[in-house]
Amino acid sequence: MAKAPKMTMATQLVLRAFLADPAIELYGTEIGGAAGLMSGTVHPILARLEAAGWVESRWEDVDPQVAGRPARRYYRITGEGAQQARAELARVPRPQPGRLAPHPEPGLP
Amino acid sequence: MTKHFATAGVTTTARVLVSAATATLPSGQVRERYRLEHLGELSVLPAHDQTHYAVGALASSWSLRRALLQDRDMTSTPTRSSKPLLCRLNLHHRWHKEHNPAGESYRRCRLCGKDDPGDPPRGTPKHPMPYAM
Repeated sequence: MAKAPKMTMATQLVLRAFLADPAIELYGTEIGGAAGLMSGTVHPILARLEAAGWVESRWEDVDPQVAGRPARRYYRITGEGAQQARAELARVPRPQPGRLAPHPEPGLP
Repeated sequence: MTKHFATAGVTTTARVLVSAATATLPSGQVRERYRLEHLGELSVLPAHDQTHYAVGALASSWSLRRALLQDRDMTSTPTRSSKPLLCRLNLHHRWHKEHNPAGESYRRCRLCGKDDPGDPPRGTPKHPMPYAM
């Protein structure tokens, strides 16, 4: 596994969004919404998490001609990523409510 | 995926902004992946939100480029062109003294790793490793 990503505030928020339900897959806009980040700005964070092996992604299994829209890229936190993310998030102070994190998730460190 | 379906439901403004955002990324599959990814997300957003999203994508494009290149750099080895120009032209080196396993000293450039081919200081061998016969 590659080097752990830097725990910026935005990275913490994205990880918390994934850890709210590690089993589900999310696409960029959903991740941004759950993390309270500006739309379209989560991809650098996702690229770093993916390079570190904390997150994996795949194209949506949809026929664009039938759906009438292009396929989305879905992201999911990996098992090891979830484990390491929990450990890292337990070490850093939680973001102040009202600044960047709009939705506190219960059950997370 | 055809171009028609890749851009279905995406406003011209958002499409142009996404093209500008992805133009900074490494060319080829990586750039195309993120272009399609942005278009896939834009296609289900209302027009106003599309512009908002695309501006965000453009604003973070340099950060995405750095993230992608950092990943690439971690798997590549330094190339010859990473040497300073003056070293490559052999005009200037920053010599420092090193010792070979036999304990003999020689000079090596701190910047490019070149061994000093010139006359060594008195009492030091010309090459880092003496030739074995």
